[in-house]
Amino acid sequence: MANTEKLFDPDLIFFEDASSFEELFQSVGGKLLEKKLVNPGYIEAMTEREKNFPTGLDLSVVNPDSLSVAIPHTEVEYCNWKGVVVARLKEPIAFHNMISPDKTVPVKYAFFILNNEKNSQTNLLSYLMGFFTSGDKVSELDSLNTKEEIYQFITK
Amino acid sequence: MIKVLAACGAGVNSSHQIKDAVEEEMRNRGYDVHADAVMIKDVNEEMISKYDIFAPISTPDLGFEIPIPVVEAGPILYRMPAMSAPVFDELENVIKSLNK
Repeated sequence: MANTEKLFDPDLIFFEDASSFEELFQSVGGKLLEKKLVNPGYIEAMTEREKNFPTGLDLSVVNPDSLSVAIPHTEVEYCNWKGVVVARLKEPIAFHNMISPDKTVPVKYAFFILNNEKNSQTNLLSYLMGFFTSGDKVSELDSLNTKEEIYQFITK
Repeated sequence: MIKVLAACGAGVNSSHQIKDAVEEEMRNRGYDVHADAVMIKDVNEEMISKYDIFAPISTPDLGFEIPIPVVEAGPILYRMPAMSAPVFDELENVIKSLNK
């Protein structure tokens, strides 16, 4: 995808310590509201959506020992920006599995997809899926220490 | 032409990826397929009756009986042949059974 580096920002990579997706959304959502990247109601919309349409992506189908990721997102009207906000969890938290909602997966990284264009030609999700499914990305991300290193790794 | 309705929670990321993948792969397999991408909450009986196949990520509770064949398309999102091939195969079988 062209201009990948513009879809991420070292200042939009957060190290989070949360015990549930609700807590995570409160924390990250609060920071995004402060930066005016999302609109009031974002946290509530994200939380409601995650309960009904979960976004945990099981990466053990890619690498048997891999922890998983999640791609929380909501409707375009809550977003003022197009890009991806990354949260590294101190300890994995359970997200329900997007394609088998009755199951949960242990999520170590959440990639919040912000999209303010309904009929966008560049599909952020397909870029992220290509990233997640090549190599052992969770272990590689875990080996990095700084936000700048994570940014470089994701956008290279 | 076969009409496929792709759907996901927000109607913006996953359903569009399913739409693009289904159209491309089914075209490669020789079928004339058009897909639309919508939000699950916008799907009603009138809308779904205009399509031949419903392709959600996983089968949702729509509050009514889904009157057309359902193909759960979630595994397509991985963009890995091992994950997506069974979904495309099932889709192709359903298309054949439509006899259109």
